[in-house]
Amino acid sequence: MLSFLVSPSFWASVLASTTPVLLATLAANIMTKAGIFNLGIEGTMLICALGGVLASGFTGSLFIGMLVGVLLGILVSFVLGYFILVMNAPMNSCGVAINLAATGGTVFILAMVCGSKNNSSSLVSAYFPNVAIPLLKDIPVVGQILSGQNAVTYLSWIFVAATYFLLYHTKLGLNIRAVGENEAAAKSAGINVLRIKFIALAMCGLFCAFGGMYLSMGALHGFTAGMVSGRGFLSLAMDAIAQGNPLIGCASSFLYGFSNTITVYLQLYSQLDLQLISAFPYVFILVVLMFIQLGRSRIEKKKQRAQF
Amino acid sequence: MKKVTALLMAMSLAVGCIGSTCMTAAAEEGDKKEIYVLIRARGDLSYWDSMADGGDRAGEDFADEANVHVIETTDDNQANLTAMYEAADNGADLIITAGDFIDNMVTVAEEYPDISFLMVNEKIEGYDNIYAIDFSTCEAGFLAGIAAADVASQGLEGTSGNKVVGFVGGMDEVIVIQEFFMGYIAGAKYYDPETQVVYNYVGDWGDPDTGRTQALAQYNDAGADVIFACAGGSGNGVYQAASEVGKYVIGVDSDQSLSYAEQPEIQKTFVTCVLKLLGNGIYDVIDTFLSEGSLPYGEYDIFGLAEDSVGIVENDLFDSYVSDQGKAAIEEATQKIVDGELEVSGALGKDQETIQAEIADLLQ
Repeated sequence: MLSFLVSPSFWASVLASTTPVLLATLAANIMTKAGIFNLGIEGTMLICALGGVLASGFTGSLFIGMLVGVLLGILVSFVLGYFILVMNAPMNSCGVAINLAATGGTVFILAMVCGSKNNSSSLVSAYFPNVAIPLLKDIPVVGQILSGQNAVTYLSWIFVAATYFLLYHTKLGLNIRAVGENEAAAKSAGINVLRIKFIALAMCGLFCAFGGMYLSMGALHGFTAGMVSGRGFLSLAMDAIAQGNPLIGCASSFLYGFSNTITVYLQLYSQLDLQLISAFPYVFILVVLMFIQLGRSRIEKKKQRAQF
Repeated sequence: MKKVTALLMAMSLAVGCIGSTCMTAAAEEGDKKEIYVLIRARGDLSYWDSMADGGDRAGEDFADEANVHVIETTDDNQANLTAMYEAADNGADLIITAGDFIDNMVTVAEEYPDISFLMVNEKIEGYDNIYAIDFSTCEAGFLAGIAAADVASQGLEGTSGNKVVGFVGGMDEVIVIQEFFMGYIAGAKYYDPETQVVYNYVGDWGDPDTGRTQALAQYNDAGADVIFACAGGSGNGVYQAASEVGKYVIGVDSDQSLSYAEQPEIQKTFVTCVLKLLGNGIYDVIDTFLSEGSLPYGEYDIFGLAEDSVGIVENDLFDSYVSDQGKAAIEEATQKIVDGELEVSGALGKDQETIQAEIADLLQ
């Protein structure tokens, strides 16, 4: 029944379905570190997914599509930033506003431009290619899994490493963390809090953009209404596990990708009840979260004991 | 509280006034019947568009006898209810809407016993002014099953000869989807009893990425050669996966291959599409209503192949992919179903337990 676990295409699917959640989680990570709770990740991804498709569809250029997608991502994040940081509006309602605007707005624009409220199939858009990695691709099994993934998938791994380095090994990262931990203290130390938060928002927009564009210009070659389908919200849960750490965020996204893909295969190869299978990813994540929390509290206790 | 009550009373008074003026306006127009088709929204290229199209065509063809208004009410139940009251107050003779809005229809129908109502896609019986119709898409699914089993068995380019066909549904335990699925399995087994059917449910109507993952699993690991994608927007991922691995799909609701005219690598994966021609059904009912002045109220009728309300697309791609033997089998099955010799068991009007048991039976 579980023989599919050794199938290379299973693991390739795991990596593929991890990618959009990974990028969204990364966006949530950087927001948490900067002390912002961004509920609008879902909507931002959706806007970028459509923006990238339309821009590349009309110009025929992948680069311009990508550029427009990224700029849109940053723009939307800045709009959120303007309202919550400059105008002091409540974070949650602004995030919800972005999601609502994105859900309705993308369908509106899609219907205006492509004449369909469902998908952009009438428009031929560019997409990120799948990359075969030389040498690696010739290794059996491992090559089939790791090579031939979408370019954005590899990019997301680079982003994880880069974000980790930025947060923990650079001055900017230190400032971002300081702002997130204690804004008043950071201010008194002479850090320009607003500037740092906007830098974090720009990074969030960048990751959201690639997360959205992976869906519409990577895995799929076109936009479908509502195609982000809760991945942006899920990233907030993944971030709750990681508490802002990009490496743990990456691991928890992988966990999601794994449990999501195993659901697909269990439906095919097992006689288990479908409801039970559909609940599997969430139960699995809950159990893992429980263990992580247990571990954390044990460490806390040890620390407390060491203090006495 | 007093203020609220007063406000409500004032509002109802105002609405009443507007309603009555409109009613007199409608009456002055003479004997023309007022027919309202309430849909969620146009532009989905399938379900609602088909319904709107039926209303539009009836409006053109029967322009002398009736005014047909197709109204988009969004998926907001409350907005639909308001629109229905408005239609009723504007002197509607026949109000048509579909499954989502059944509760609204029952509410309004009880308050306006003189107006006729048509419920599409939901079983409702015993009301003096509601007539319900449904579509036995299992018959069309049956034909698609034959086409799929044929493509999977005759060594077409890209197929493996495993005799496995797949199905990706939007959500489990949705009767509309199970209706397609049951016909599809029965058709595949009818053509070749050795055919295996594998299936997945996305659990979402708008998640093409998961749809793609499931399709890739079925193509690469379960050995499927054709997948019937019955999953709304999630189906786009199935089409994408088919073009990646060079295998085949069957679309749903409308001729999906037309919308991929600009992307030949996806377009050429379509063997056929299963059609649910709601528009034809609605057109026929409006025709009956205008010629006879009434409908078989309280009844629930199922339209199928015989009424030309369901079917499959037979375009150039279908011609080149399906073998002569397959085409002959489809023609024969169509004839038998229309004549009533062959009965395809569907999900309509059954409870979940029965349906699940029947599906398990079919899959054996």
